[in-house]
Amino acid sequence: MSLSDSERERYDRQLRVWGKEAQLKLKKAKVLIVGVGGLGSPVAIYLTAAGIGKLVLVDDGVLELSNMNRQILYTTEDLGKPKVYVAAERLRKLNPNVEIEAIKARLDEELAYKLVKDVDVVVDALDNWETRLILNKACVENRKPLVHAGVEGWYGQLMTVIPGKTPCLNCIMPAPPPPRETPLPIVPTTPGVLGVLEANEVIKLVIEGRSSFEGRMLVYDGLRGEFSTIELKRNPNCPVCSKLG
Amino acid sequence: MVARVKISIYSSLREELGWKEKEVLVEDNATLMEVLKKEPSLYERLVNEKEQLRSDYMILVNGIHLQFKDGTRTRIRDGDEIAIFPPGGGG
Repeated sequence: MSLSDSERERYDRQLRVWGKEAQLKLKKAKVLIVGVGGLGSPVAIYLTAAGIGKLVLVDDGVLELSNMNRQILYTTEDLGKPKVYVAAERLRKLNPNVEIEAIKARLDEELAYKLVKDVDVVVDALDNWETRLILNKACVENRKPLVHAGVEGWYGQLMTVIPGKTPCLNCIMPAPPPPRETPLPIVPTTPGVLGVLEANEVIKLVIEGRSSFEGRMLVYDGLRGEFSTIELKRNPNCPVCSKLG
Repeated sequence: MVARVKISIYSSLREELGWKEKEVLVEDNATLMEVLKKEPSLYERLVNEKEQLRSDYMILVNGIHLQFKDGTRTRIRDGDEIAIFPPGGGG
């Protein structure tokens, strides 16, 4: 595998940071992004721009007007269309070198296991804990790194799960909280900040094999303009990850 | 013996309660519930009428979720650190 003249020019500024070998690692990498909403939009845009080899996108949603304050992959003309197909079309135009697979489905256990097996890194860009915990279990059992983020209002959190090494999502949220009766409040920029940070961790996982948020959680407070970190430990009794050495 | 316990809160809890960190003094080996009662406004946020902890808050004692310890009966020792916040569920 090599880089074409066009790719060398497209990636010129980042090649000056990490060089050709690292860029080839990105070109060979397959990344699964679950959810192409507020978090998934910036994750997919930056990974496509950076030259990831293949993105697999999963989402069952259709674009609604109330998505438009934060889901920056879409335009008002896309209302009513399945998000995952619109996203794939936009991303292919952004960078035709990247292979994009779009799957319009709600992630369940069976689909999670099938998709996680074939990728190098998984991104949690979901909007609910129930599906997050399904995705987490599939990642732990297939030993695939999972980059997690979640948002609400002005706030969000991010952590990376390295199965067998770091706490998993089940360690920190053993059961999904009760569902809300009203939609979650979300400031437009909050998933933007967290989604960009997720993309950044994916790039480091692919190029360097490490994330800055292994065993610690980043907590973002957009109202106060603060980032904090919380040290996390693996739960020796976690039913999902404790058996992994 | 008196135990010094650090409580750190994050995100919307900071805004609601107006502080980030507090050190509370309790009897060594007190339960988590006894520690929370030292901060009545925090206690009211986290505990429902049935004296159960709300499940939408993440409560870690020295980095481990208290559900994997002894829940509200988790024993707190001198120097322990408690971190509490409601993780965002949206995307």
